[in-house]
Amino acid sequence: MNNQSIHETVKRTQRSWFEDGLWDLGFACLCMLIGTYYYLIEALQLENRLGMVIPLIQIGIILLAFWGMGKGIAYLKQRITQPRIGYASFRKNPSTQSRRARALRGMLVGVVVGGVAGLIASNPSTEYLLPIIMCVVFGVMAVWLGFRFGLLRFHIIGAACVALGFVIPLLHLNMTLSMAAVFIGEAIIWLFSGALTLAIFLQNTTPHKPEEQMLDDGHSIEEE
Amino acid sequence: MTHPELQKMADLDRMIHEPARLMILTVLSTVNEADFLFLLHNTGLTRGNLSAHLSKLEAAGYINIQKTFRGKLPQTLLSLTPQGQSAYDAYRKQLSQIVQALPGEK
Repeated sequence: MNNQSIHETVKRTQRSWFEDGLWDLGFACLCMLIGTYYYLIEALQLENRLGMVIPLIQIGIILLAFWGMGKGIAYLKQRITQPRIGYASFRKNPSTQSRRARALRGMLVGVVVGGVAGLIASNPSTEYLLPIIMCVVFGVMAVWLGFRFGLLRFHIIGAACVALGFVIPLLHLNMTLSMAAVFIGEAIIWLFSGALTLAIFLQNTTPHKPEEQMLDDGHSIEEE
Repeated sequence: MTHPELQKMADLDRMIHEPARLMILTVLSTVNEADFLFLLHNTGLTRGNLSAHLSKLEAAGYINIQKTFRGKLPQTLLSLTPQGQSAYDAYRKQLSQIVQALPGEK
């Protein structure tokens, strides 16, 4: 085993988190919730009624969605994944990520978000760019995950996300409905990916009996 | 390769250098803790072989083995000890230095 295969083993181990497609499904639910929220704002004209409270509700919805996604994935992993491929609690900050790389990524995100916000605030006619930018951000995130964990499906999702961003401005929706379309479109992409991955995972794995999940005492090392 | 680099090769931790044990420690270095089934799935070793290597690593003080229950189901939880983590890090460092010193690797 050399350094290259050690890196591959680390990547493969981390990849097992995404093996069942539950993360994709969780992310799809999160996007669907946010998309539905934007749609309801427009359909029920909540912006006129609630005014300044809207940003607070928005933050609350996003936090609730992230919390629900974490809980939901943990519950389903316990029921579906763990009897098949076992349980692991992954390190939040693997040693392969340097502090400098994290700081650089944070700075890059800050610059992009700040730049976009500045551009749109200074010129409202650039609003149509927002869905494109949002979808490109989703796409870059998916492609980055694809490279980091060596997952081909995330590269395909990335391409689909970017394509979605260029389709939405053609629908000539207002700002709020555009945002709803971005999130609901993203939800559909991730839902499709998650459902397909889960179906393949269930087909290729079987739940182990409890006694097979225990360490055997008294075995000697055999030649493999 | 010069004499000091050859010496480093001889100094590699033999407990870790065995491919199956290196794979087990690499998987465990990625997680806080994992159960027996997870290691079985990720290393591709047989149950008997995995158990034997885990016992060796536990005897060396490199891993913790905790037999517990998840609900009503028995579960074997495994994790790297601080000693195991530093031995693994030192091994990785030594291995990198040796590979760097190989002709054509610079």
